[in-house]
Amino acid sequence: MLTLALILFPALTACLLLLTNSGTTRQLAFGAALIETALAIYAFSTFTPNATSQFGFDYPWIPSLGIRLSAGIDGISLLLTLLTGILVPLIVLSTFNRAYERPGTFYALMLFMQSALMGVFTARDGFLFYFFFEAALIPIYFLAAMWGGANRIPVTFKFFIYTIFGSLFMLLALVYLYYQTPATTGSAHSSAIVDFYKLKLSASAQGWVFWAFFIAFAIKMPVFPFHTWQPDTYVESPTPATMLLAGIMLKMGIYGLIRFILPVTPIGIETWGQTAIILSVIGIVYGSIIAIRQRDMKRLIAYSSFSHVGLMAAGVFSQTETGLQGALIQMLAHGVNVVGLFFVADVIYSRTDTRQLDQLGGITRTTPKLTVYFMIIMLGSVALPLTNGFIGEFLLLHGVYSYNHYLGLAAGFTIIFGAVYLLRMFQKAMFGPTTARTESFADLTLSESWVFVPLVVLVFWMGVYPQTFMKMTEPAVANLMKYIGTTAISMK
Amino acid sequence: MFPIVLLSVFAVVLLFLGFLKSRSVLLPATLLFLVAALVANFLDWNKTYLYFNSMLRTDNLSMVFTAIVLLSSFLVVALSGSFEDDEAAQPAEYYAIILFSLVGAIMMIGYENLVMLFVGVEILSVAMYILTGSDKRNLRSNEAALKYFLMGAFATGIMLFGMALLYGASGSFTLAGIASYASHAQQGLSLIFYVGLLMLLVGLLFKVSAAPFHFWTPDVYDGAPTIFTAYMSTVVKTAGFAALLHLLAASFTYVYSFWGIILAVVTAITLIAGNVTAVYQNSFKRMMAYSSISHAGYLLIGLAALSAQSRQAIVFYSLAYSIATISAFGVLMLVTRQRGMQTLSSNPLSNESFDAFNGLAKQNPLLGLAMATSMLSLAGIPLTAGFWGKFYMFSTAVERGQIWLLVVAVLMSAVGIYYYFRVIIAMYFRDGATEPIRISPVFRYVLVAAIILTIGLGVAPGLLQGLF
Amino acid sequence: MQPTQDVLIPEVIQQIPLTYYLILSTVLFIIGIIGVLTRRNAIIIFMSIELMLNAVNLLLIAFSSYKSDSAGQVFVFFIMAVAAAEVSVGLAIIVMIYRNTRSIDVGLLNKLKW
Repeated sequence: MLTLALILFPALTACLLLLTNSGTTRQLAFGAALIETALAIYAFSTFTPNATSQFGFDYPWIPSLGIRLSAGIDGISLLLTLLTGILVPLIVLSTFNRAYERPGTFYALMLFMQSALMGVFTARDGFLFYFFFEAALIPIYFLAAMWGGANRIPVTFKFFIYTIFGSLFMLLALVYLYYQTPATTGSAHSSAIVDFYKLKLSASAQGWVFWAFFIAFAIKMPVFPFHTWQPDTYVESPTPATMLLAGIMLKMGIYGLIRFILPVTPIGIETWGQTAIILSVIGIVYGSIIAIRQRDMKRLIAYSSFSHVGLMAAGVFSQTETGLQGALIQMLAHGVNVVGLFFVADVIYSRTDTRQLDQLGGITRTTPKLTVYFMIIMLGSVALPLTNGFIGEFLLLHGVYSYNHYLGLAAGFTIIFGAVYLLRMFQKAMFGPTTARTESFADLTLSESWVFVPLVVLVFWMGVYPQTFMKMTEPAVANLMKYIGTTAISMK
Repeated sequence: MFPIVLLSVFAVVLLFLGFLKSRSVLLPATLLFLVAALVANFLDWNKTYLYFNSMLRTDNLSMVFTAIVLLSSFLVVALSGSFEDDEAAQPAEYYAIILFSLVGAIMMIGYENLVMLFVGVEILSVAMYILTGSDKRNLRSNEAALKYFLMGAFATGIMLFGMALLYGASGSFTLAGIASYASHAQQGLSLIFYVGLLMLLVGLLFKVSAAPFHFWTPDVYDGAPTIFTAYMSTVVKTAGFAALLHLLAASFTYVYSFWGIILAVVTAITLIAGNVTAVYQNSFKRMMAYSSISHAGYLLIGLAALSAQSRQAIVFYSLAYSIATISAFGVLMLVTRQRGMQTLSSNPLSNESFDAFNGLAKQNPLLGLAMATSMLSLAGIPLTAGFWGKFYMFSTAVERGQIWLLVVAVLMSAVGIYYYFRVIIAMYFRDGATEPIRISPVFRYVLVAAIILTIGLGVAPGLLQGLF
Repeated sequence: MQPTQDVLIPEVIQQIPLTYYLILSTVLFIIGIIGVLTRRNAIIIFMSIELMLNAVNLLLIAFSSYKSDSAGQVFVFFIMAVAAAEVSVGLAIIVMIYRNTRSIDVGLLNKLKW
């Protein structure tokens, strides 16, 4: 039942917000998001660390087809629901110094988005997953296209077409899987995800199902060469939408890899997994190199995110326990870091009206608070030990390395390059002589500081004591590994 | 069966009501008659009857189709309030013709004998020729009527030749008689049987505007008064697909191997022709015409597969499609009426272009929402009824194993999103400097009902289940 | 009606093989189709359509008498009645166009893209 509350509560409050259009809208939205956070934290703290799905609900949806409204939280979902729960109020809070036109619609769309994201991460039915997967796209599209930058219309449209196009293939694969399932009581087939796991598909079927899923998720994440929508969309979207996109929405892709591709198509991975890893590693290196050359802060962060996601995808495809574990932890860490970085860019932009690194500099002089927070989050992204990025990237690299040494080595560039472009960004923006734009740079306001505080706490918490999070996911990952092992062996 | 009798009587009554001085009674009367027919439709619920010496049949499936047709015409008629102000319009005749045409549609839904199919198709088509040409002084409307008439009569001829050949082969016009002849497919059937089936299919595919028999559709939809375009693109299409479904399921399942592949190819051509051409349109109305061709393609997927899911799929799809189409045309009517007055001097086509929708959502949130919902539904995005329509269609094809057809359909859905979103982009993200459009209460109710139905069916598609 | 006449008419018809009727009506039908596709005068197109319908009628009657089944002949009456209704509407449309354009050449109707 808790899951139902997590999914429905934001949507219901969003409907109420649509009716308001006053100055208090954002406070209401923030309050609603905080309640959702409390629910997510409650779920996290009362979660029993085992492989079962908890807090669930299960109702018939289309009875004659055996499609059910079924959702619950297991170890793989848990961290992502937590991430969604924590980030959304911070994103709402980050808008407090901005005045957006038609705030009722703006915040309602954000909360609708949160509902859909919660649904994606908790769905236990294949079609319910797809339903939320697509439903999440509509609010973010409107957010980006209504409040975005000058070039927003073609850019967001490209994003929309791209992602819909990918997910249509996923729909094909889901329908196909559905018709492969054996009869259940009351209907001819079942669309429960666990029933998909039990399928014994032929090698060729697994091949195309793998690609159908992979294209959908690869576009979402994005993985090279499906990434061309991403930088422009991140830059043109209003920053809250960018945070939602980068912080939470791209995790849908990784989550999908873990939830569907790994257990459903083990042979498909055996055949094509190497291609997928190579694509991911190309993305890592390519994204990093481009990030080094960027002058626009937002674009730089966008490419860094692209590069980091490649590492997560590679870790998942390594099919090792450490790789999976690392991907789960890194999803949380990356969400925290990237939202922090985008917020830094937004704070700087709101004061100087520019994101070009050439026009910035010397901000540290007047801003002790911003400097400290920026530094911590940046170091988290660089994956310095004792910060959150370290543990995830270490596990991921370990996984990729044990899959293939050379690929692991190539993926290792992410840390070196990451340090290069992030430190460069930090140095260019914060140190050096002040420019005309940064002369009278005011330090963080109270609400801005309160966005950073929880993020910084999480950076250290995950870096120093990751056990809090790891122990929740371990049983589920072990369970998943067992699935991969058995299905693969029984097919041989 | 009851709706047929009632509607025939009501239509005559309406013609007499036309003698009254006041036109304001016509619209409520028509709506009332349609509701009465809708209620009467369900009197036979859960029973299967044959009427008129086994000429017509009612069962739950035919009643559901009848209900969709009646609901669509109810919504269309509710949106037709502007006739009251138009001196040249003859609302009594229009409404009476609509009711008469519904009789034809219902005959197409429930026929058991090819004679009834023919008569039903003709009642519906002749009524449509008149309505298409109803804007008598408008040359575009004239032209559309003539084209529709010539092409429709031509298609009828082909269909009739097919029926004659089927009769020659099987010795019967009844669906059961043809089915029993076709059941000897193993021993080999005569050639004229297959030719007859093919020609009958061509005739019917013509009526539902499937490619390559679709070329009349854009012109006719474009030229006809918008309100009747809405009617044509929903009621005629639903009835046509009900007829095709019944024909194929009742008589020709034995020779599936013959027509299954033909229909699958027609489906693919229809999907490609409709969607790709729609991308290049600048007039919203013409885009909707091509979109209706593409939706004929999606509906054909269910026919070409003819699996256990097909009935449900076609019912759901036609309902979702009808609601979305009507509300889209409803908004178009309001927009053209408003902006048509402003741009009277310039090109009359321009007020139907996509630019006419610029900034609409800011001035009229309700119109924007109604249009956005129907575009999303037509594009098949989740949270709307259209998604489940597509979903059902795709599952029928998977059940049959027609993966290649599905790939075409999926690619074309992506193309479809492109042109449906042009409207949404125009409404929400572009600026247009106009004052808000005044919406009459009836319009408001219809649009709100369409939004609720579309989203309601999108969230809880199981609601329609177990109905038939 | 005399029973002898009932038998007589089919017998007369059946002196010619069924295939001949089939070929004749197919040829008529195809002439009709060609007329529709090639002529530009609306009235002539219209006549061609009527020719198609009459080809169907002929075919139905032939089948009907060869099978000694009345259903085909009943269908012919339906076709004739419906075709009459169609003619009245069709001619009305043509007259309407003639009033507006003083022509019934379909080639002149180009307000809408074909």
